[in-house]
Amino acid sequence: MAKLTINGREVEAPDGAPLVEVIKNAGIFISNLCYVDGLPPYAGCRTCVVEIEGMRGVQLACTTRVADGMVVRTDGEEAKRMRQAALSLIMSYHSDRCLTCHRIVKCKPGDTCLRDGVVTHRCLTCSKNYRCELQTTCEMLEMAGYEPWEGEERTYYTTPQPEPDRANPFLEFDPQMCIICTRCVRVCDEVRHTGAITLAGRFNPRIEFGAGGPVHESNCDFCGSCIDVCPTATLMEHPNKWAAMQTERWVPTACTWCSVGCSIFLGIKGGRGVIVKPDTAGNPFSRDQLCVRGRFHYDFVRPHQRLQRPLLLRDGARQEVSWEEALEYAASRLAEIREAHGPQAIGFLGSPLMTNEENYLLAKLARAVVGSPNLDSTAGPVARAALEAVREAFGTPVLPADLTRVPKARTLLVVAEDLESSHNVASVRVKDAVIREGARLIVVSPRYGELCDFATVWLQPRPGQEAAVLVSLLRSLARDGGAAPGLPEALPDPEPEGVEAGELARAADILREAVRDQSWRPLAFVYALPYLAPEHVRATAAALCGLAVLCLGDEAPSCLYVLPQEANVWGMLDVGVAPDLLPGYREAGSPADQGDMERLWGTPVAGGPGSDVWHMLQDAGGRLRALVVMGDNPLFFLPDRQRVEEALARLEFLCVIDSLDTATARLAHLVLPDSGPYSKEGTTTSADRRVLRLHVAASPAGESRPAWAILRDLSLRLAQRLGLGEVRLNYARVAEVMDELAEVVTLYRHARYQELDNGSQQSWDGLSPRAARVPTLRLPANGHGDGHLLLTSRGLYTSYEAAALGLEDADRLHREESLEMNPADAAALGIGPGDLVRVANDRGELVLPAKLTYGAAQGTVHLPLHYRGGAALSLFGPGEPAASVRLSRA
Amino acid sequence: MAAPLEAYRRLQEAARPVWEAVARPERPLFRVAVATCTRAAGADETLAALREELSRRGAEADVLIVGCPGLCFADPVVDVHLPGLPRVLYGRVTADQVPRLLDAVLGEARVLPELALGVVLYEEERMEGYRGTPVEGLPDLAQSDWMRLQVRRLMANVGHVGAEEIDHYIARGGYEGLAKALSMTPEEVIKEVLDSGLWGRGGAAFPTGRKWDFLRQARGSPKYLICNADEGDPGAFVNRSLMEGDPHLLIEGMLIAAWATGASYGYIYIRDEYPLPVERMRKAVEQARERGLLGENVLGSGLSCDLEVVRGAGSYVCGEETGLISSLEDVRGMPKIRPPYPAQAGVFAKPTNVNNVESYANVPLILRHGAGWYASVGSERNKGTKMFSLSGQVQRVGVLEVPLGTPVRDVIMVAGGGPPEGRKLKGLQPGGPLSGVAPASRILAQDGLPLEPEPFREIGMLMGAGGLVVLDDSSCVVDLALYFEWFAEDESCGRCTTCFGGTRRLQEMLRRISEGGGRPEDVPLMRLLPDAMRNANCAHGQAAPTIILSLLDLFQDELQEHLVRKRCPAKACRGLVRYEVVAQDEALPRAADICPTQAIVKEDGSYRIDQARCIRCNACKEVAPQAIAVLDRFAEQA
Repeated sequence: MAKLTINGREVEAPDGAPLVEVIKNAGIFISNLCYVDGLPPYAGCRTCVVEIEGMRGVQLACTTRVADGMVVRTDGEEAKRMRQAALSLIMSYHSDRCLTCHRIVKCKPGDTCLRDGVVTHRCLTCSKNYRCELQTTCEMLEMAGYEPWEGEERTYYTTPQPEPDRANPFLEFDPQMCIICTRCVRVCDEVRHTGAITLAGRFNPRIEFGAGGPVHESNCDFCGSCIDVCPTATLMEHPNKWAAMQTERWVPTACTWCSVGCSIFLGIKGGRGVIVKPDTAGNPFSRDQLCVRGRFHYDFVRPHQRLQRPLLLRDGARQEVSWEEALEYAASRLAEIREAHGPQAIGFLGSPLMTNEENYLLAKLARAVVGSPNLDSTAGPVARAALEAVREAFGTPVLPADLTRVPKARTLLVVAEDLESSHNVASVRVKDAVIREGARLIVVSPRYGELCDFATVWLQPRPGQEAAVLVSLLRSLARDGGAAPGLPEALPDPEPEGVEAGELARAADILREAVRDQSWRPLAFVYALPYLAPEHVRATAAALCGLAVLCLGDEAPSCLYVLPQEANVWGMLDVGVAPDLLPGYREAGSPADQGDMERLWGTPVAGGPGSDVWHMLQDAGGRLRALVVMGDNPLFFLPDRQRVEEALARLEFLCVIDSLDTATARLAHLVLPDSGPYSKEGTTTSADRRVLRLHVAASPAGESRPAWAILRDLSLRLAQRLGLGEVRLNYARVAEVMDELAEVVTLYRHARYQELDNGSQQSWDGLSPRAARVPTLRLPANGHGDGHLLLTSRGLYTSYEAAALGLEDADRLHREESLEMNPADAAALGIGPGDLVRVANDRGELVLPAKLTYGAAQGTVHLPLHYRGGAALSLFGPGEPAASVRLSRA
Repeated sequence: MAAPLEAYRRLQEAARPVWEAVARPERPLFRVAVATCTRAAGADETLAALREELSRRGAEADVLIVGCPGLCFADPVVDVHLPGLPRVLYGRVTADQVPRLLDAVLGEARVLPELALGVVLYEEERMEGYRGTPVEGLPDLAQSDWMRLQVRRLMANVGHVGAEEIDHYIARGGYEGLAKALSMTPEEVIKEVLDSGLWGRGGAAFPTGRKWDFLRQARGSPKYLICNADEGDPGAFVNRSLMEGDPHLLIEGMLIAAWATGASYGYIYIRDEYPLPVERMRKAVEQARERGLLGENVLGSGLSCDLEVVRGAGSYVCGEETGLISSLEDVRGMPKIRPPYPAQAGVFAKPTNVNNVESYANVPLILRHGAGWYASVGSERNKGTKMFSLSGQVQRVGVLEVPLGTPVRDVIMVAGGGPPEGRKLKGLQPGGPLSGVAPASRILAQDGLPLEPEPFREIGMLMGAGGLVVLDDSSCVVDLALYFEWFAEDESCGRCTTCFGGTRRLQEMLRRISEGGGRPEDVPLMRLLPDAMRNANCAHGQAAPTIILSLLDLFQDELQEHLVRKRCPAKACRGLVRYEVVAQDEALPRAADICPTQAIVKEDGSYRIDQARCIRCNACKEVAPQAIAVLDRFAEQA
């Protein structure tokens, strides 16, 4: 640590820290219009000048590193004069008339400028007004009246300025506001590793996207990082940019559009979210990064498009009813069915899109109130398959992995179809490791994703053969005499299709070096779960666990990162939404664990493994008579669409708790409107089990209520009918649910709200790894028929909520509304770019335009999962990682 | 004898016969200077005509392509060496003069006095070039006004040896400096360079030996050498001349630097506008590699170093060493933030040394002849010679090499022959557009403004890398400043707002002044900007306002004329002049004809200029100098 004096104040800072950051952290204002915290100085604006004792003239605070005993003054006359002169030059590239005007505080939008005829752009007509760094800087540097150029013929005002680019739905780019600080260029390149923005031109330097065309034609993926750093109105959010000027308050919450778990601030105006900023200090993993979903999906669904009031199907038509009536109806129907067919006739589906508290209450409703173990979610089978492998390998289903270690890794193996799209910020951190740490990256993916560009080796197997690739690697490493518990004598010898032996050997060498040579560690194994094919997921997870154990032994579990498909999959399982799990990973079949739960809940608990989602649907109309679906959407997330639809139709009573009128909700007998994301309290659990607090930000739509309150009220009514007295259901606040949850689930011991707000984290008590062994390696058969293989996965741009409602601009960029196919395949079928293609098999057909790309391997085609309400899945059979389809020109 | 020297002697033995054939030719030998400058004057055509004419006549003669000996005012030049006669240099030998020249030199006369610039007599052992005795009827070139101030050390080979002949270079002692260096320790080499007093010729004048020592002591490998041949200053072409005329001198210098610093790879970064030097340097590198002078184990010494010629992409700031490094790294050519300095983290973040062409080129001579010999010429403070390129409004232009400390007055008035007839010297712009303008009063002062860094620094200027652009009284410093600020903005990399914003402001202000909108309060405003601009990241931004300071401090009267009386004494600021017909003569119809805006109108049989149309392009004045006069536009207000 260095001790220095700034303006006479003693300040302590790490030796060698950039002086500008130290000054800012000390709470002293220093103008710095090009510096980005954490990046190397650019030293372009020349306004951060300070005087340092013992040095001649003025120094730049951004390029100066602090040293012990330094005496710094930011308020000297000379520094001030230099700052003003530099700033006046910066403003010669900006519409500056208001910025130097002493009347600025008195001006109103309709006023005519009394001072100058050339003023066309005024602060008052700028969407960045009052939140503009340049404006603040001018105020702090007392630029009002500082006008050495008064009356000068200024080229800025006499040359035509470039037109703003407002052609895309996310990002507005108005080069005329630009002061060429290049913060956006450096953030896009050095922080995002995207490099969509460049400093172009020599005479008249300017910022350009891609090759100088519109933003959407560059490789920008609209993460909005450039918006955060832009000191002027050059880069702005397109949606709500005017409304966001009047942001009333900022609510800290978390993004729930994937399992990475990024912390955000949602700006609220009039009860609606209008702007999102990253919560930089609140999250050690996402820090200052978000993706297009986190930043812009908050308003893809408008409040009026959400469910407003309970809907009851009566005489073939849905009617709005009061809450009283709806809850009474639900309770009575469930009680009747329980009476007539037993508790097991009622099934429950929870959802990874809901909070821990809500899923917990659903589990409690199922097992303790109704007494049914039939509890699952459409995301359950895949997630549990992965956990099964993890449990076999490490004796616990909970991995103690901490994602913040990923950017520090030196060797990475990523098994993901397109991590960039599915878990965007995790992908950024993997790139961090590659770019900043010089890490070597192996990507196993049947399809191109942006991360492949960063890979040392990209292994591209045929879909469904990821596990085979990993087993081949395992075999190669085991051949060197590697030993690990559980490693079978005879390993299978798969020959994964599509992967060259040389590439495979290169990947094995990389892992081998990481094992041998400490400098290639830490090692990280990342697996982003797909949506489909539990059997394949289990095999892939098992092979990955085995590989990790072989490479790292007991260290393996802390280097293995399994990223589930949706936001709160782990939380959902943690709190017991699974047929075979009680809350806190208590075994559903174990009498001891059941007794434990009965003691905690003070009531009999339905133990014994129940039916999973597929069995429930299979039994629908038979053993299963009623289904309560909370936030889940089987008609979106499950394959074999027709069978699912038939099964749901056979139910006597389908009750849906959701904020959206989804396909499933439209079949329901009763719909109870949940208040939806951003409108409820609760917690969600990220892929590495950080428990993130959600706060009420937006006003709920209509009369909708948060699902936890709906479940509470339903449970209370049901308990009353069933005469259950002991079980606690009357929670006044959701915090009370979490308090109880923290008692029940040891993993959440420190996840009480009060502690969460203080930044406390979960404990691993009782769930730490107990072993490290290679789990059973079973390779699923690849029984594909003829034709092409259709893959589907999460796209980056499509909003689930808007897609579930079938809204026109679920994908506002319209990038994910076509079928990706290899140009060679297309040529063979006589299909050109943009031509309509018929994709068909026995289950159905789709017609959509073709997008030709070498990113799709020959013989495979890809369709985003969220395309047209999950249409792709209607072509998939259960358990298939890819569907066989016939292609033809339509 | 040490192994490298022994290996070198063998090379030299092999090369000697090749050179002998040229040094003492048995049949007529024509040296044709083919360089960028002579090409512009038609050297390619001369060469073709010479070859064709020789073969047509069936003459037994040889043609050797050499670099430009520096007498650019007389281009194209051909040097004729007849057996038994001293060499004679002929100037302005355009293609149509070739038959006439051949008639004379191959005939009875053997000389053509009309075209002869003088007799060239080389003494093989003396490095100081053109020395000789007058031959009857022909002057001695060495005693000519152009040559007599010069001491040709760096240029000893230029125009003398074949431009693409490594053997000539070796036979004349080339690479001996390298062989000697390789027999010394790197520390000894650095000491020798330090003792010579050699400083960087690129403009900053930093001691070369110390710079090398930084790299020698830097941690990290590999280490890189860079030769900065991005000679971008308008009016500077000394590096070009050297690379075209004696490319191996640079290679040898870089190899010695590699030995002294521990560098293993070198880049020769040549500006895009220099295609011929790129070609010649590439060829020279190739030849050096063939002789085992580049690559692994040079001359059996254990030194391994290779060189690569890189072509720039056409940006002025890439001549700034860190800008050049950025350009080599294939990123936007922007000067970097220092620290780290190149010696710590240069190209590809590895330790790097960047020197100018001329700095490297001096080193072989120092090693070969010793630091004492090197320091035997020059001034009290600065030792050695320096090449300069003289251009602008002066009678003779070209490249010359003079001892440091030579008065610039003598260079301009003696070698250059002074300003054109009827013009007065106004000033000198040395070292590129960012270095300011020295006024005639300073040049013509007692000491004649010695060519060394200190006197220039005293008047707030830089001596620069060798460009000397002479201005006569037809130039206006305000107009020049406007052009230079435009240039500075055009070439600004875009990092510092003080640079690209400041130059833009200055332009706006100067443009207004040059159009008659000057105000007395412009003076303090113009003082404010240079202050802020000094705070830029690199020399480009810091030096961009130098010309403004020259204007304010050294040309106050001229500026005041613009500001107060709204007149341009040099009649160069277009906004301050008007063109008038002052006499009706026969050239006027043509002038009216070529006027691009039809501003010269005929009324009642006489011509006059329609001021509303005239764009003051000066075309008519060139056609009808007597009839058209340039007057002050705002004269009546004076």
